[in-house]
Amino acid sequence: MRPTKYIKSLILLLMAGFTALQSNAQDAAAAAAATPAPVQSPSNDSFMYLLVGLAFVLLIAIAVLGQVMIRLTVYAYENKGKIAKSLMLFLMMAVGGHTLLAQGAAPAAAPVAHAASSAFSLDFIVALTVVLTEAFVIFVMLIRILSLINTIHPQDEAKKSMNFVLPKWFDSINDSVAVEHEKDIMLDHDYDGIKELDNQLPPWWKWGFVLTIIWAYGYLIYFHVLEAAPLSAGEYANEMEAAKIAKDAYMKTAKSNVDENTIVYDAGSVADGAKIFMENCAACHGPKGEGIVGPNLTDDNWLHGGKINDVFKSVKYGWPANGMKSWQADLSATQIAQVVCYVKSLRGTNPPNGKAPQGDLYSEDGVKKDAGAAAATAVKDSVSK
Amino acid sequence: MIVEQFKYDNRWVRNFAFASFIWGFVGMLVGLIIALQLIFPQLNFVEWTTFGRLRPLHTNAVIFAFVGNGLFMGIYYSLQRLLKTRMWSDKLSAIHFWGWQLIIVSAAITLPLGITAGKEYAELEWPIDIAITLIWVVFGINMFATILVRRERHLYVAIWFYIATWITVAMLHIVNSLEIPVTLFKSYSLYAGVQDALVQWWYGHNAVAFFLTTPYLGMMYYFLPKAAGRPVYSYRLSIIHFWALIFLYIWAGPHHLLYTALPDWAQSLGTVFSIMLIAPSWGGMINGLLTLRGAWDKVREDPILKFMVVAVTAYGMATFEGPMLSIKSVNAISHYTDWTIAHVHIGALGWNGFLTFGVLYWLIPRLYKTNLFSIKLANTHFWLGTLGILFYAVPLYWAGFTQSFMWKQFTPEGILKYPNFLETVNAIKPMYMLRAVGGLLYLTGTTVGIYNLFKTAAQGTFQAEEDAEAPALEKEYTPHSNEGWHRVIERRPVQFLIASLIMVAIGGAVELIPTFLIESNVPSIASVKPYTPLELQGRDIYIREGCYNCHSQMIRPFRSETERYGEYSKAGEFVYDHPFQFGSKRTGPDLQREGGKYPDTWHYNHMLEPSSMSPGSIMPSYPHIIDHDLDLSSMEAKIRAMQTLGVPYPKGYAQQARADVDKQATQIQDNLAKGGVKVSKNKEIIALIAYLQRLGTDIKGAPKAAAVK
Repeated sequence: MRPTKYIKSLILLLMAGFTALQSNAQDAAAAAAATPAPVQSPSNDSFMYLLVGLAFVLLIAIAVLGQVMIRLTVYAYENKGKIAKSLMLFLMMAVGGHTLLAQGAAPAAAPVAHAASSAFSLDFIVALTVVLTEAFVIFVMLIRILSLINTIHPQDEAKKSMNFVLPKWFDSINDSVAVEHEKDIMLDHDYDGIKELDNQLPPWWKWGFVLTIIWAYGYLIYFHVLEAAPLSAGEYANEMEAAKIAKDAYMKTAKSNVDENTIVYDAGSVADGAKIFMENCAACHGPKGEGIVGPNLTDDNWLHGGKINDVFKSVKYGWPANGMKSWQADLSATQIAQVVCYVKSLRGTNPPNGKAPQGDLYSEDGVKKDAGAAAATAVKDSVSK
Repeated sequence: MIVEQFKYDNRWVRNFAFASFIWGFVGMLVGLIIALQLIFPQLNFVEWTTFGRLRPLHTNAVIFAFVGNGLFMGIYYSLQRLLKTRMWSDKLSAIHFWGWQLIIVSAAITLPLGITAGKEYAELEWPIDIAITLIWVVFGINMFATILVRRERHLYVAIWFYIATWITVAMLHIVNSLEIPVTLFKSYSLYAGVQDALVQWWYGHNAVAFFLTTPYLGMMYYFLPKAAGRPVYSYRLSIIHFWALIFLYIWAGPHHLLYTALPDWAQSLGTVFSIMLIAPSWGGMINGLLTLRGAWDKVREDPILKFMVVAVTAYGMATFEGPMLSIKSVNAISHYTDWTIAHVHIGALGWNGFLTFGVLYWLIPRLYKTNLFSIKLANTHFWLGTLGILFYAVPLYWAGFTQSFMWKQFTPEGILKYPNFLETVNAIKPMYMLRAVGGLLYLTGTTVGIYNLFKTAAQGTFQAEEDAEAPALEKEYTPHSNEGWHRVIERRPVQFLIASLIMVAIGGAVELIPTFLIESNVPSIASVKPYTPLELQGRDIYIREGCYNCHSQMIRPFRSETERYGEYSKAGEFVYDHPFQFGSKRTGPDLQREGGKYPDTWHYNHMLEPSSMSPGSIMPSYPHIIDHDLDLSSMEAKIRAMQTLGVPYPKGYAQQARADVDKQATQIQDNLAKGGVKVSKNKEIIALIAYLQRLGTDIKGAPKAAAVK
């Protein structure tokens, strides 16, 4: 009973391989977990963790397969002296190589989890290369193992055809006539040598088909005759209502509920505001607020009012006709407040390449200076058209 | 009984076979290039090789050149042998072959040039559409005449599938391609908006069904039992699944338009018919796999059977996944994401690709009277291909889930968690990279395969004429007393053809006709006006550049979409859209409410270099739109064509169109100048900006000065 014996030893090996590697993997996993992960891009991070995890799993697989290969080779060498020495050598080298690789890969993979903010960080490429290399090694090992097994147990033709005979239950769930008796249901059809059997429809297939038809009628009746559930538009209305209720409930408990009437300048918000500004505003207003497509935010001229409440309003509702979009769907009230504080903090920074002033002059004491430069007014007129 | 001597014609089988794998290589190579463009936008190089133009080239090459030639190869080989006769006319075979190759070449030239009808998988312009129709008729005559002069009384199941393929593709292609020519290289679809979308997806879905599926099922029914040396598992399963498949398939098109402005009843039909399709599709898989009962030991050895088994299994997986994607709540997640792309590639790489190569490995040695050059290389090809499919599909499933959930997430404050679309793109770039690795593996496998096939051909001698003999059909036929009811129609090919046509016509008619005739299906909106001539020109540039390959214009009624893009799309908004531009994939954001979102200068800078306005953008840059002068030579013809299609421009408006173009262009030029951009008013960019600023503004209430005349 060689095959059973072989399978048993394989399972044993598998378990042994696991325990051997477990301590190793745990260390590295702990190391990876200990490093604080950046918060910005959770999906990228989870991807990196997965890659690292995958790398470890593949390493374990390689180790196990390596053990199997060594055992098989030794077995083949002892029992069938025929195995070429060169093959033996190759196997030893492959196994040795992969152990080296495994040792090298573990430390390489661990730091990968550190930073994954950019898709093409070196870490990412290293991790990817490790995983792909491992996959390739496993692929090669599997092929070698298969051919080794063939060498050890060369099967004669008769034996081969005995393999892969489908179990009896397979015929019974399909209601098919067993292969040995298929002459009974052979039709007299012959198309270029192709014969046809007349097996029954597999019952699970037939009844599955009937079930889908019943389901189809049910679906149409449910939605279009009984109108028991809303269709697209109704679903949307429900979704929006539920969202509104949830939002209102949250807002009641939320600490900060800032809007254009209540906002006050807060120097503590500037740093957070700067981040939001770089991500959302810099494309049009310039990374330093100097103005590109949108106006300069560092000077004293404002198209729609320079008071902090007015700036909040401009960001929240936008001036779509002039190209400034409404941001209330993109930014929370707190975030709008933060970015507005940042913008207000830019006053007088005089960045290079500043865009010419546009709009009315505004001074921080709140008095609008209508006597502002004639040039500025002219610009405003032409822009707001 | 007199045994007649005749010869099978192998020449055109061989030619189709070579055309299939050579075009297949080209199509897959283009696929790899566009996969890389999504990671490295600088690979877009010049205007002719931008993603929007190459992606249609990839899909057309793989569908119509690789699979198209593959199915002609399979049909020309198996038909002769199943009917015990030579193809009816060598001349028609030659016309069919060379005509089809010419169509492919003209597609490969016109698509990069931006000559396109703007409808997915039906991009080719009207002269090529006509050529396709003619060649398809030539193919039909040749096939049918062969059937009529057959020496075999009954038609085998493979031929049922060939007949259904021919008649249905003819119907789909003609109805979907109805268009009004404007110039030699430009036409407008006869249908508009929602109706155009329904026709297009009725076509698109059934191109998958009747170009990529039924002929390949027919081939499976011939080549799989041949390669395995086993009888077909169940004749009655063949009958039931054939008729159920062709009847039900045609109805399922609307599942491509779930949650869109398509009427709800049509969407529901799309859903339920897709679910009912599971069993008929699986009937094909079961009949294929169970035919291998008692031959599984061969599967382990024989690369041909390995290819076929994976192909049939991939077919089963894809045809189960498809109905799942047609359930509205699943579709809400999957639609517009890479999930769809993964799904179709299970079908294309697994089912079509692997079956084609399985058949080629079986066929080429037989045509060349030799053995396969290398079994080992065929096995290598098999493993590379299988690994390639896995590496292709798994990351894209992942990308689809990831991005979809990022799109839909809200903060407790009730705003989108990832309002910046680009953030969701950057999150899946690593998956795009893995996908490209998968594509490279698959292409490498294909290359190994082609080398193997060429070597096989080189070591053998081609037998163009193959001797055969069979008794002639007797005039009188007495049916067996115990024969099945279906035998009757199997010996009457013309009735079979008509029955197939009726079966496939029902579903289309029930869905299309009411959508066209009953007004409530597309409620009109008074504020929706035709495009200005400049906007129309801009729209044609949008179509030329294939923007619809990455940008949808269809906002679904979900909070996550209306918060991100604005009010959801209404059927009445698209009544002047010939052709519709809903799109099916959001590699970039939806554009239906783009109008007025950004200033003109933003668009100018963004087209010149997208990453200047959206850092990290993977969109190609379009300097040529800024360089090229707007071609107004067909302005009048375009307006007149639109009038013919029922767009209510005032009578004689064509003569006034140029003046209006000039007026609106000057306005935009002034806007740009104020933003510090100096550009001539007769550049293409002006027209494109006019169109983009118009998009979705008709029902926004406040009229936009630039958009409304």
